[in-house]
Amino acid sequence: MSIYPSTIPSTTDYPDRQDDIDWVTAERYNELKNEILAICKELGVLPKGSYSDVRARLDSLESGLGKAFEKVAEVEVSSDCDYVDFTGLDGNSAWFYVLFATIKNPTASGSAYHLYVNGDTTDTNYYCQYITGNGTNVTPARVNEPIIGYVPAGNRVYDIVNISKDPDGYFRYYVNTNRYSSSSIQVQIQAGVKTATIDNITSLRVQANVSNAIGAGSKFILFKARRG
Amino acid sequence: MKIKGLRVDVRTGKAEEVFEEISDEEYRKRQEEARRAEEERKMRELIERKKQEILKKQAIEELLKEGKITKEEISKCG
Repeated sequence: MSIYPSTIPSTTDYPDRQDDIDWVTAERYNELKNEILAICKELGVLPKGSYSDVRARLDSLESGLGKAFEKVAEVEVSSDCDYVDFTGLDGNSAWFYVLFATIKNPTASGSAYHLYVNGDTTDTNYYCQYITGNGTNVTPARVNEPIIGYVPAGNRVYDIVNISKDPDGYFRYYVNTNRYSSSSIQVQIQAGVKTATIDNITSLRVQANVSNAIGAGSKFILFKARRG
Repeated sequence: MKIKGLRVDVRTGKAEEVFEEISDEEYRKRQEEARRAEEERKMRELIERKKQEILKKQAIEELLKEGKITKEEISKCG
């Protein structure tokens, strides 16, 4: 059992030893070996990746995507459910959120998926304009609900949702959707807005309008655009 | 009626299963709303498909009339 990574070992844990004075027992060797193995396990295999060393890789992450976006939540649905809530958000600090979602509809009915903000689950408080590309057909529509996707029974959708509150306080989102399967593949773009202004984005909810239509295996990752 | 959800607190990173109690009336209302939305969606798609069919047919007729394409060329294109 190693001390690291839960705490950093001290000289009390491993006191200094002197030649010709102290005995170094096998037990002490094993303790040090366990600490080295714990460090290796913590870092993983080839932690420098394609960079010259780990420091170079960390610097690159900080100056690149890692600086631009910070992951704030990640969830995989383990059993079918109706909604996924993200709480503890601070949109005034983050400015923009990006939600990656891949959802399976395991039910026997088609389900729409809605994006609600700050616990307001009244559909008519939102509008959504969307365009669907289905083969050579392009269907535009405007609906009085905050749709981020619609999936027929047993099908799947992949969404990238950009979310923000505009300078005048209106909650807005924009979705790129890839849905259906095989030769039925469809593309959708969806833009949504809330009819009333909000002070902040403190929570987001993705909710199916059919019971248990967020199937096990559905995945969500939420990023914020500003650190801190 | 209880509906099941997952709540993820981004401050702690904890995800927990939660249940929200809604009245039977509210549940029925949501089901009815979902059914209505589904019907509207199907209707919009049907109308759009028919619109495209009519437009395509009209476009072909016009091009034939103008002599810009022939029936043989159309059959080759499918």
